[in-house]
Amino acid sequence: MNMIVLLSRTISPDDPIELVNGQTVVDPTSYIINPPDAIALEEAIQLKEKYGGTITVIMVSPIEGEKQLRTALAMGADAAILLEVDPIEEYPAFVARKIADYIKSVEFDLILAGDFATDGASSQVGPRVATILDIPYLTNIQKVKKEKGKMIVTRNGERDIETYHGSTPLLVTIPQGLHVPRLASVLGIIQAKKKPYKLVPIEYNELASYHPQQYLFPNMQRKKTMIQGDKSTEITELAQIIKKLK
Amino acid sequence: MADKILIFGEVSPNGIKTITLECISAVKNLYKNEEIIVLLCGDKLQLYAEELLYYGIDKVLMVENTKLTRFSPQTYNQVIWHVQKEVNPTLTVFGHTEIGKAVTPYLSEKANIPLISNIDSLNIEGTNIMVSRPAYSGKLTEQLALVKGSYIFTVKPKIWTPFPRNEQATGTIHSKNVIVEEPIYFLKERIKKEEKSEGLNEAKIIIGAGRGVQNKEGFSLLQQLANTLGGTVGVSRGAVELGVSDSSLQIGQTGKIVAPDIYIACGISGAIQHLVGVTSAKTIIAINNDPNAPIFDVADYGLVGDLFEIIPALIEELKR
Repeated sequence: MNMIVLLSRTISPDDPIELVNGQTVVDPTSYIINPPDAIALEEAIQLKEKYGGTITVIMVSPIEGEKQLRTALAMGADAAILLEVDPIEEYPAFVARKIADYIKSVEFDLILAGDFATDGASSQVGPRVATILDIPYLTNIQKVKKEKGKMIVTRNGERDIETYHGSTPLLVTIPQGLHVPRLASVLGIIQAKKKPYKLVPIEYNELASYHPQQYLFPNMQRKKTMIQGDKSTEITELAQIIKKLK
Repeated sequence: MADKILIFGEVSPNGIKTITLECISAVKNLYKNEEIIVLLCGDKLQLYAEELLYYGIDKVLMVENTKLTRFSPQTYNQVIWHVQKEVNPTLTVFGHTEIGKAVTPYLSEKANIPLISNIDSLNIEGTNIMVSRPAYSGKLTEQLALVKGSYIFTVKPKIWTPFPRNEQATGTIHSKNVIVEEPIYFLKERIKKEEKSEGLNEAKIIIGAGRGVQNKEGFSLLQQLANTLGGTVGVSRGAVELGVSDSSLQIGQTGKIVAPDIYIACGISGAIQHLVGVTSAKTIIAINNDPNAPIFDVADYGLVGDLFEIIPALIEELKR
């Protein structure tokens, strides 16, 4: 099965974020593969282990994205493509169009993507790419199988676990929590340096009708009253509070 | 002719979903002169359509087809794109739900209309539409100024309060026939999920279980507390990883968004990915043995201590 995994990079959700004049200030060492995308890559690697084939990872990012692509190669991807743009607001529509334009010239059976990015969280790029390529897509996938040339895809539907049958090509989005992505091995890291890596400069030519004005810290202020005393007073007080609120 | 606003309506066997009423609330106070149309897709929709007319909308567009009984982006995309072209709304609104997330990128791409997802505020300032949305796992709020034009929005659940049901039905129901082509991927089999999470959406009291519950016993203590209070249990990702619950009860960025009157976070550290799921709770109470747990910074009431000690005593006290 020949697969393409759509990657993006994001700052680690565990790292703090700083704001200056309403704009984010990012520590460059904080970038990682967007966690849901890393899970999509893990799914692809497991499918490759089962059915053979190749994995190509593709990312739209400034040149520094090479680091995350090399990590993906070290984890088990076979080839990487960086569609290089200057740092820009990465509009999902723009990212999807550039990826789809590139993929049009590549042969593949299956495209995998994480179902959202932890920074922008628009959940748009995967389905957009499928729309532009005019191939079917299914979201929130739990399992992909291939039997007698047929694709069997199980998704976590709203009320049921649903199993679909169909043919390639297909795009699937993978939810967070499906796998724990593997760590790159030392051998993997060494091999990654020799794997095909392609840099394709692209131009930012989107006429966006909206711009992020600014970022704010959300107001999460609450009363912050600590209940204090000996244990039994504390519990009586807590019970009183709950009874009153009910 | 008045501009039109198209809202995608979601229904379940229990009725019209709350998110659809929330979508109506999000736009109705702001867009007074526009015609508000709710689109329903599915099978046997008449009763839902009639019910919707009690919520102050102008029109229900009903597309009934046995191929739409179950949601699939492959079939729903066809209908939604067809209706979008025909209605030509200035604003198209979905819930940021499984359906909304799956179909809006398709619609945005086909119609070449920008999609702003998961909005949690909507205002008009001069000629701009001002929206905000959570970003960076909820650590930040992104504010956007949109120039006047057509947009597609998905609306974050539990932000807007549904309007109460009117005494009189107003507006009209239109049935519409759309030819739905057979999808390439067809449903072969389905297994009903345990609907444990059903209660979370409507619950007035939710007990949140985190990594601090440690084991099944800890988790069962919280279930007892929930029973005592007539509430239900939700979990953080920590509890799922611990293996005490499956992810169907998970609250947060990758789980459910809830809005109970009381949320009692037990053994939950307060990771932002979890907190974004409970920001609409009226009161948050936190119980944690770590006095420095970040959850105390976003709680109304906090109590430091051991769950295994506090919860049984609290249950006794509440029963009194």
